[in-house]
Amino acid sequence: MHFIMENHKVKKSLLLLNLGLSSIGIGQIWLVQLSAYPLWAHVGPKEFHAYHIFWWHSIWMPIFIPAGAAIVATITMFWFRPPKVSRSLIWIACIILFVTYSLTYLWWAPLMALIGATPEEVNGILHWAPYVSNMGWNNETQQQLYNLLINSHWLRVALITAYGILIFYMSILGLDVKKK
Amino acid sequence: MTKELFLLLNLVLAFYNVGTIWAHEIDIFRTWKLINGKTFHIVQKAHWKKLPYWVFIPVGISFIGSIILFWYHPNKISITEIGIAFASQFLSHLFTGIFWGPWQAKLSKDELGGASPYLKKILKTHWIRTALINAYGLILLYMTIQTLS
Repeated sequence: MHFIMENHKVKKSLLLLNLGLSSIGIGQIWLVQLSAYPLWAHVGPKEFHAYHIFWWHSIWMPIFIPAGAAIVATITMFWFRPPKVSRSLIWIACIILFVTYSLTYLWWAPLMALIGATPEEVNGILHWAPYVSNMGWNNETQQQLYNLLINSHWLRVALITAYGILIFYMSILGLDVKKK
Repeated sequence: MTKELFLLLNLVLAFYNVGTIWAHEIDIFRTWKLINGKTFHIVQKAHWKKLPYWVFIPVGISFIGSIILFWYHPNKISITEIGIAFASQFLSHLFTGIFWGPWQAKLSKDELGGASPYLKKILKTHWIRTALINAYGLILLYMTIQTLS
């Protein structure tokens, strides 16, 4: 009986932890879209390269760690989920994460890397994202790449927000907050 | 709205603020030191224009929520816990009023831009605000796990 109670607690705690992580993601992605990216347009051309490299290195810890932990927490929920949270909801969450990070690798990451890149760095990007040359991105101006990033990044904002809303919905179901 | 749902909403908002404070601490403020004097004020002004809706309003609602929790909270949570959570938010706002707010105002008028001593002071101490906002989120997570698990 004690084991069942403890197991139940672990499942609900995991869901709450995931709720916290998804909320961090929403806070970050909206601020990045509405403040961090628009600031790039105001940075002078001489400083832009150093600014961009510094920015890229600075986001590893605050963005990648919570994002990685959210992926692990969501997959773990297949084995540790409150009874009222269906497996199909966890599958939807996994699909949203998969689409988000696949598109990040294929689309937004090369776009971000190309903005402000030196010719040598462009060659480096073509090694891990060879399709970039087929899309003609390596011949676009900085302004064109920046506009493409800002406009298409709304999709990433929508996906991360949708993921957070889904985890919140799971929390309402799984934690019985409406009935207490 | 049940007390449990109210606590859950406070938790969501607390962690949203954790996300925005880390973006400020790591992504935004630290890149300012790389910008020259001319561009600096344009960048800073553009940044502050965005803040009211995406940072100040959620922080304000979260602060009001932390006060309401004193009267409207699940029975399992003690007043001491709510007091500690409130104190971490209150200290963050108090220090902002005393230190970071005035320094930001002086920085906005400083011609040195990214080389301003006020930016150095902000970068040296802003982790305290980050820690306080994180502490608030973690205390709320602890309270919610205690109540809903």
